[in-house]
Amino acid sequence: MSLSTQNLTISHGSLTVLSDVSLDLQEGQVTGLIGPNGVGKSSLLKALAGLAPSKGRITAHAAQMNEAQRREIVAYMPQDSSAGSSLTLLEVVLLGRINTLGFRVGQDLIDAVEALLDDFGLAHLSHRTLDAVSGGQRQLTYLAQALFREPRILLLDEPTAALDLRNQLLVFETLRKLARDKNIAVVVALHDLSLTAQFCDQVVCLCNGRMDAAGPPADVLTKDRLARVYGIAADITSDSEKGLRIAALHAL
Amino acid sequence: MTADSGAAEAAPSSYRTLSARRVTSLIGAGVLLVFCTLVDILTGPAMLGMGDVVQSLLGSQSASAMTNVIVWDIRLPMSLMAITVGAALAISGVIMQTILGNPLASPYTLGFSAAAGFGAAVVILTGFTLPILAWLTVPVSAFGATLVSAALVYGLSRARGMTPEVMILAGIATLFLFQSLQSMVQYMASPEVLQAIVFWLFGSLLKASWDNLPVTFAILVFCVAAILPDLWRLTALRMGDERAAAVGVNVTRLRVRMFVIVALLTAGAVAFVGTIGFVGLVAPHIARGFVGEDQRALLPMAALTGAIVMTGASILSKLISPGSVIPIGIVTAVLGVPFLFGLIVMGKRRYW
Repeated sequence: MSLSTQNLTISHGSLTVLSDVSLDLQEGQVTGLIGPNGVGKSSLLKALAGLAPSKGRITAHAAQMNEAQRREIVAYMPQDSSAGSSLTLLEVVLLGRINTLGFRVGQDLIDAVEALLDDFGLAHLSHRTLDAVSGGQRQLTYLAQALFREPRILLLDEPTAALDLRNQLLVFETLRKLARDKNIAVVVALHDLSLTAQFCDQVVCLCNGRMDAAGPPADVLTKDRLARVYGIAADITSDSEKGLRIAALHAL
Repeated sequence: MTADSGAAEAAPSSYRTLSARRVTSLIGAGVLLVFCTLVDILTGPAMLGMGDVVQSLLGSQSASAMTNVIVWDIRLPMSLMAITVGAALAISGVIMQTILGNPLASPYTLGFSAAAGFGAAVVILTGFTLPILAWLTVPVSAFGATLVSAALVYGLSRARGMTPEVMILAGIATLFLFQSLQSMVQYMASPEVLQAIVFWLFGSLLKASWDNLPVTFAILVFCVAAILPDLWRLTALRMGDERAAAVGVNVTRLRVRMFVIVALLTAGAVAFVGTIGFVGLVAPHIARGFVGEDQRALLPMAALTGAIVMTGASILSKLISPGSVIPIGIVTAVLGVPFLFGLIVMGKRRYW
């Protein structure tokens, strides 16, 4: 399912964070949301998820949806997973389907959760509490929870921030496969431009309270833009075999 | 895996094992509660023989009229009230700790007990009585004052978005307000009236009767029924507000609804027997240590644990000084603290 915004404006009280954002998030694609710290990536994701107020239109498949309707089809994963919890990994993932859980939880549901945990190498920890596992494992658990919701649209706020390199690749490979196979729209806010170049079909760049650019990685991730948006000098190479490569060199 | 293998022993191998362990804990607690209740009915200042009590309970013709009165009209209501109040306070404690995200929270954190005490003290001081239902004057006043304090906390918190921090601040402010008012009433009271007030504040099951037991029990049943549809949402709240909202929980609405239920439940529990402390704090922690955080198991386990602690305290209150009954409010902490200490020191898994 595709998700679009027209002239979206997001404010925190009297402070306008983002204005005039018009986006088109396509099904079957992974969209990378980039921009410097504090530019409003998380605020945009929350607004799309229906968890924060916004002005303007948000439509899914051309139909305008209110916040409650969006919450039904969207899975949103908040950024910070540093806080532990005394819930077990299995319970956390299970809560992804909170709206359909009855008093009795069937074995088939438990099996589905454990299969999902197994995909991220967490099956042996399923009955540990979240306090007792590492930050990266918590992050993977919350990602599994978002996937367990079986959403039409998946919004992830820095899902790989606490992960080792292998898990970063594993997560993005999983997301790309998921987008293709299930035909869902995946939106990922992230800071790693290499991962953005490698895995995203589309990149949305936010800068100074506005949308600076949106399009294929090769079009958005240019030397000039990275210098202007992030204040960095970057080395960008592109060849047909290895695709787009970005190396950040130094701060300007 | 090696570094934390000490914690691994607490982790069951499968969900089935976990469920079985929870059911075992619940059954074990149930059996212990039945045992404690029987002992509770068997003990008392009247020094009745065990056989006489059992015969009276079974409705045997050979039981003497006096034994019947003691067992049926004094001990049985007291025992059942201990179970009801213990369960009510424990459930209130679980919900409070969950919605405030704070292990120190109890039914009394937000000033409900101080308000109930004030409500009772005022009518004891003034000697005001309700027409017709004079015996209900003190409970109704305590109940009403509790609801007033809840409305105050709600109003204050509402202004700043109903976050746990704001609710706790508003609650502590309310607590101090009613505590001061209560002290003022006590200061103005004559020695005899003061004694009556202090006795009420201690909390005592001696006030239990067949008249007030059904009221407290009905409030308990009503509140539990109101909580049941939200068990999963309460469990989700333990992930934190943001993550609970992310899976679709309307956090503020849930918090307000549960707050109202806890106010009602606590008011119902303290109105007749006074402010019995500590059960609402300790029972949830004990229960959590056995069954974990899943509210489907935690809520019934806490209710059973609260009932056990209360019944145990009731037994103890009759044994400490033979021939008399020490107010149970004094005893609950004495019994509950070692439990809690043991849990903190011996507990293998982290439960907060």
